[in-house]
Amino acid sequence: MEKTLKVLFDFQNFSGNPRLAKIISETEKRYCGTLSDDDLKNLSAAGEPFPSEKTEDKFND
Amino acid sequence: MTELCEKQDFERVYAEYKDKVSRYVRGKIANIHDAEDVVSDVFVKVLNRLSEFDENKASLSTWIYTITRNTVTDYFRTSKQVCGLSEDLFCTIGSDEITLEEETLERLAKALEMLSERSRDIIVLHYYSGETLKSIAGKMDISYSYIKLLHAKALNAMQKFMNEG
Repeated sequence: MEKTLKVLFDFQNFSGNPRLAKIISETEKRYCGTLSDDDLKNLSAAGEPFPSEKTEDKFND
Repeated sequence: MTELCEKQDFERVYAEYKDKVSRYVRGKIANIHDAEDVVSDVFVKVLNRLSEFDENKASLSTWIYTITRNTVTDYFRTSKQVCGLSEDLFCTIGSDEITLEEETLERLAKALEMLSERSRDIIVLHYYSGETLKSIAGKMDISYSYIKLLHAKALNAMQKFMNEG
Protein backbone atom coordinates (compact mmCIF):
# COMPACT_ATOMS: atom_id res chain seq x y z
CA MET A 1 0.00 0.00 0.00
CA GLU A 2 2.85 2.40 0.80
CA LYS A 3 4.37 2.10 -2.64
CA THR A 4 0.93 2.45 -4.18
CA LEU A 5 0.39 5.73 -2.34
CA LYS A 6 3.81 7.06 -3.41
CA VAL A 7 3.05 6.21 -7.02
CA LEU A 8 -0.46 7.67 -6.93
CA PHE A 9 0.65 10.90 -5.29
CA ASP A 10 3.42 11.21 -7.86
CA PHE A 11 0.84 10.69 -10.60
CA GLN A 12 -1.25 13.38 -8.91
CA ASN A 13 1.67 15.80 -9.44
CA PHE A 14 1.16 15.18 -13.15
CA SER A 15 -2.58 14.73 -13.43
CA GLY A 16 -3.76 17.38 -10.95
CA ASN A 17 -7.04 15.71 -9.94
CA PRO A 18 -9.03 18.62 -8.41
CA ARG A 19 -10.62 16.60 -5.61
CA LEU A 20 -7.26 15.30 -4.46
CA ALA A 21 -5.67 18.71 -4.96
CA LYS A 22 -8.23 20.22 -2.56
CA ILE A 23 -7.43 17.62 0.10
CA ILE A 24 -3.70 18.22 -0.29
CA SER A 25 -4.16 21.98 -0.22
CA GLU A 26 -6.15 21.82 3.04
CA THR A 27 -3.44 19.74 4.69
CA GLU A 28 -0.69 22.05 3.46
CA LYS A 29 -2.58 25.08 4.78
CA ARG A 30 -2.72 23.50 8.21
CA TYR A 31 0.93 22.50 8.30
CA CYS A 32 2.76 24.61 5.73
CA GLY A 33 5.47 26.60 7.41
CA THR A 34 5.29 24.56 10.58
CA LEU A 35 8.68 23.22 11.55
CA SER A 36 9.12 20.14 13.66
CA ASP A 37 11.90 19.84 16.27
CA ASP A 38 13.87 17.76 13.76
CA ASP A 39 13.57 20.47 11.13
CA LEU A 40 14.70 23.10 13.62
CA LYS A 41 17.86 21.14 14.37
CA ASN A 42 19.09 21.93 10.87
CA LEU A 43 18.70 25.67 11.26
CA SER A 44 20.75 28.25 13.13
CA ALA A 45 19.16 30.85 15.37
CA ALA A 46 19.01 33.18 12.37
CA GLY A 47 16.95 30.63 10.50
CA GLU A 48 19.72 29.72 8.07
CA PRO A 49 21.10 26.27 7.33
CA PHE A 50 24.09 25.41 9.48
CA PRO A 51 27.40 27.11 8.44
CA SER A 52 29.04 23.72 7.79
CA GLU A 53 26.72 23.30 4.79
CA LYS A 54 27.79 26.69 3.41
CA THR A 55 31.50 25.83 3.91
CA GLU A 56 31.00 22.60 1.99
CA ASP A 57 29.56 24.55 -0.94
CA LYS A 58 32.76 26.60 -1.28
CA PHE A 59 34.73 23.51 -2.24
CA ASN A 60 32.29 22.32 -4.86
CA ASP A 61 33.74 24.49 -7.67
CA MET B 1 -1.77 7.76 -40.78
CA THR B 2 -0.77 10.68 -42.96
CA GLU B 3 1.93 13.10 -41.90
CA LEU B 4 -0.68 15.87 -41.61
CA CYS B 5 -2.86 13.78 -39.28
CA GLU B 6 0.14 12.92 -37.12
CA LYS B 7 1.10 16.60 -36.90
CA GLN B 8 -2.43 17.60 -35.93
CA ASP B 9 -2.59 14.81 -33.36
CA PHE B 10 0.69 15.90 -31.85
CA GLU B 11 -0.37 19.54 -31.72
CA ARG B 12 -3.55 18.54 -29.94
CA VAL B 13 -1.63 16.39 -27.46
CA TYR B 14 0.95 19.12 -26.92
CA ALA B 15 -1.74 21.71 -26.23
CA GLU B 16 -3.51 19.40 -23.81
CA TYR B 17 -0.50 18.15 -21.86
CA LYS B 18 2.12 20.89 -21.95
CA ASP B 19 0.99 22.44 -18.67
CA LYS B 20 0.77 19.08 -16.89
CA VAL B 21 4.20 17.98 -18.09
CA SER B 22 5.74 21.37 -17.23
CA ARG B 23 4.20 21.42 -13.77
CA TYR B 24 5.40 17.89 -13.02
CA VAL B 25 8.93 18.51 -14.30
CA ARG B 26 9.24 21.86 -12.52
CA GLY B 27 8.23 20.12 -9.31
CA LYS B 28 11.18 17.73 -9.65
CA ILE B 29 13.90 19.87 -11.26
CA ALA B 30 14.80 23.16 -9.62
CA ASN B 31 16.92 24.53 -12.47
CA ILE B 32 14.54 26.30 -14.85
CA HIS B 33 16.68 25.77 -17.96
CA ASP B 34 17.19 22.08 -17.24
CA ALA B 35 13.47 21.71 -16.59
CA GLU B 36 12.65 23.33 -19.94
CA ASP B 37 15.09 21.01 -21.69
CA VAL B 38 13.49 17.98 -20.05
CA VAL B 39 10.00 19.17 -21.06
CA SER B 40 11.25 19.50 -24.63
CA ASP B 41 12.77 16.02 -24.48
CA VAL B 42 9.44 14.63 -23.30
CA PHE B 43 7.55 16.05 -26.25
CA VAL B 44 10.21 14.96 -28.72
CA LYS B 45 9.67 11.42 -27.45
CA VAL B 46 5.89 11.84 -27.61
CA LEU B 47 6.18 13.06 -31.21
CA ASN B 48 8.44 10.20 -32.20
CA ARG B 49 6.29 7.55 -30.54
CA LEU B 50 2.78 8.89 -31.03
CA SER B 51 2.10 6.60 -33.97
CA GLU B 52 2.97 3.62 -31.74
CA PHE B 53 0.64 4.60 -28.90
CA ASP B 54 -1.94 1.91 -28.22
CA GLU B 55 -4.97 3.10 -26.27
CA ASN B 56 -5.84 -0.50 -25.44
CA LYS B 57 -2.75 -0.74 -23.26
CA ALA B 58 -3.01 2.55 -21.38
CA SER B 59 -4.72 5.90 -21.48
CA LEU B 60 -2.94 8.77 -23.22
CA SER B 61 -2.52 10.50 -19.86
CA THR B 62 -0.81 7.47 -18.33
CA TRP B 63 1.39 7.04 -21.39
CA ILE B 64 2.59 10.64 -21.37
CA TYR B 65 3.06 10.54 -17.58
CA THR B 66 5.26 7.47 -17.97
CA ILE B 67 7.39 9.14 -20.64
CA THR B 68 7.66 12.25 -18.46
CA ARG B 69 8.61 10.34 -15.34
CA ASN B 70 11.21 8.23 -17.19
CA THR B 71 12.73 11.34 -18.81
CA VAL B 72 13.07 12.98 -15.39
CA THR B 73 14.68 9.79 -14.08
CA ASP B 74 17.15 9.80 -16.95
CA TYR B 75 17.97 13.44 -16.23
CA PHE B 76 18.90 12.67 -12.63
CA ARG B 77 20.83 9.56 -13.55
CA THR B 78 22.92 11.40 -16.11
CA SER B 79 23.40 14.49 -13.98
CA LYS B 80 24.08 12.37 -10.86
CA GLN B 81 22.00 14.67 -8.71
CA VAL B 82 19.94 13.61 -5.77
CA CYS B 83 16.31 14.20 -6.51
CA GLY B 84 15.05 13.36 -3.07
CA LEU B 85 12.86 10.59 -4.35
CA SER B 86 13.26 7.00 -3.37
CA GLU B 87 14.69 4.61 -5.94
CA ASP B 88 11.69 2.45 -5.16
CA LEU B 89 9.43 5.02 -6.77
CA PHE B 90 11.18 4.63 -10.08
CA CYS B 91 11.49 0.88 -9.82
CA THR B 92 7.90 0.08 -9.10
CA ILE B 93 5.99 2.49 -11.29
CA GLY B 94 4.57 0.63 -14.20
CA SER B 95 3.80 -2.32 -11.99
CA ASP B 96 0.69 -4.19 -12.96
CA GLU B 97 -0.60 -3.67 -9.43
CA ILE B 98 -1.41 -0.03 -9.97
CA THR B 99 -3.67 1.45 -12.61
CA LEU B 100 -2.66 5.05 -13.15
CA GLU B 101 -5.92 6.58 -14.20
CA GLU B 102 -8.01 9.57 -13.18
CA GLU B 103 -10.47 7.12 -11.67
CA THR B 104 -7.80 5.73 -9.36
CA LEU B 105 -7.02 9.24 -8.14
CA GLU B 106 -10.74 9.75 -7.47
CA ARG B 107 -10.79 6.57 -5.39
CA LEU B 108 -7.72 7.75 -3.53
CA ALA B 109 -9.48 11.04 -2.78
CA LYS B 110 -12.54 9.15 -1.50
CA ALA B 111 -10.35 6.89 0.63
CA LEU B 112 -8.68 9.94 2.17
CA GLU B 113 -12.01 11.67 2.78
CA MET B 114 -13.25 8.78 4.88
CA LEU B 115 -10.29 9.14 7.26
CA SER B 116 -10.22 11.50 10.21
CA GLU B 117 -8.62 14.86 9.47
CA ARG B 118 -5.53 13.97 11.45
CA SER B 119 -5.05 10.59 9.75
CA ARG B 120 -5.63 12.21 6.36
CA ASP B 121 -3.00 14.82 7.13
CA ILE B 122 -0.52 12.12 8.14
CA ILE B 123 -0.97 10.33 4.82
CA VAL B 124 -0.69 13.52 2.75
CA LEU B 125 2.32 14.86 4.66
CA HIS B 126 4.12 11.52 4.49
CA TYR B 127 3.35 10.36 0.95
CA TYR B 128 2.80 13.61 -0.91
CA SER B 129 5.00 16.09 0.95
CA GLY B 130 7.64 13.47 1.75
CA GLU B 131 7.87 14.21 5.47
CA THR B 132 9.06 11.55 7.87
CA LEU B 133 6.63 10.26 10.49
CA LYS B 134 8.94 11.65 13.14
CA SER B 135 8.73 15.11 11.62
CA ILE B 136 4.95 14.84 11.35
CA ALA B 137 4.73 13.78 15.00
CA GLY B 138 6.64 16.94 15.90
CA LYS B 139 4.33 19.15 13.87
CA MET B 140 1.20 17.54 15.30
CA ASP B 141 2.64 17.53 18.79
CA ILE B 142 1.92 13.87 19.37
CA SER B 143 4.27 11.00 20.15
CA TYR B 144 6.14 9.16 17.42
CA SER B 145 4.72 5.82 18.56
CA TYR B 146 1.16 7.18 18.32
CA ILE B 147 1.81 8.58 14.84
CA LYS B 148 3.04 5.17 13.73
CA LEU B 149 -0.16 3.62 15.09
CA LEU B 150 -2.40 6.18 13.36
CA HIS B 151 -0.40 5.73 10.15
CA ALA B 152 -0.77 1.93 10.22
CA LYS B 153 -4.52 2.19 10.89
CA ALA B 154 -4.96 4.69 8.08
CA LEU B 155 -3.08 2.47 5.62
CA ASN B 156 -5.19 -0.50 6.65
CA ALA B 157 -8.45 1.38 6.18
CA MET B 158 -7.36 2.80 2.83
CA GLN B 159 -6.17 -0.58 1.57
CA LYS B 160 -9.57 -2.13 2.37
CA PHE B 161 -11.38 0.69 0.61
CA MET B 162 -9.13 0.67 -2.48
CA ASN B 163 -9.36 -3.10 -2.81
CA GLU B 164 -13.14 -3.07 -2.65
CA GLY B 165 -12.98 -1.71 -6.20
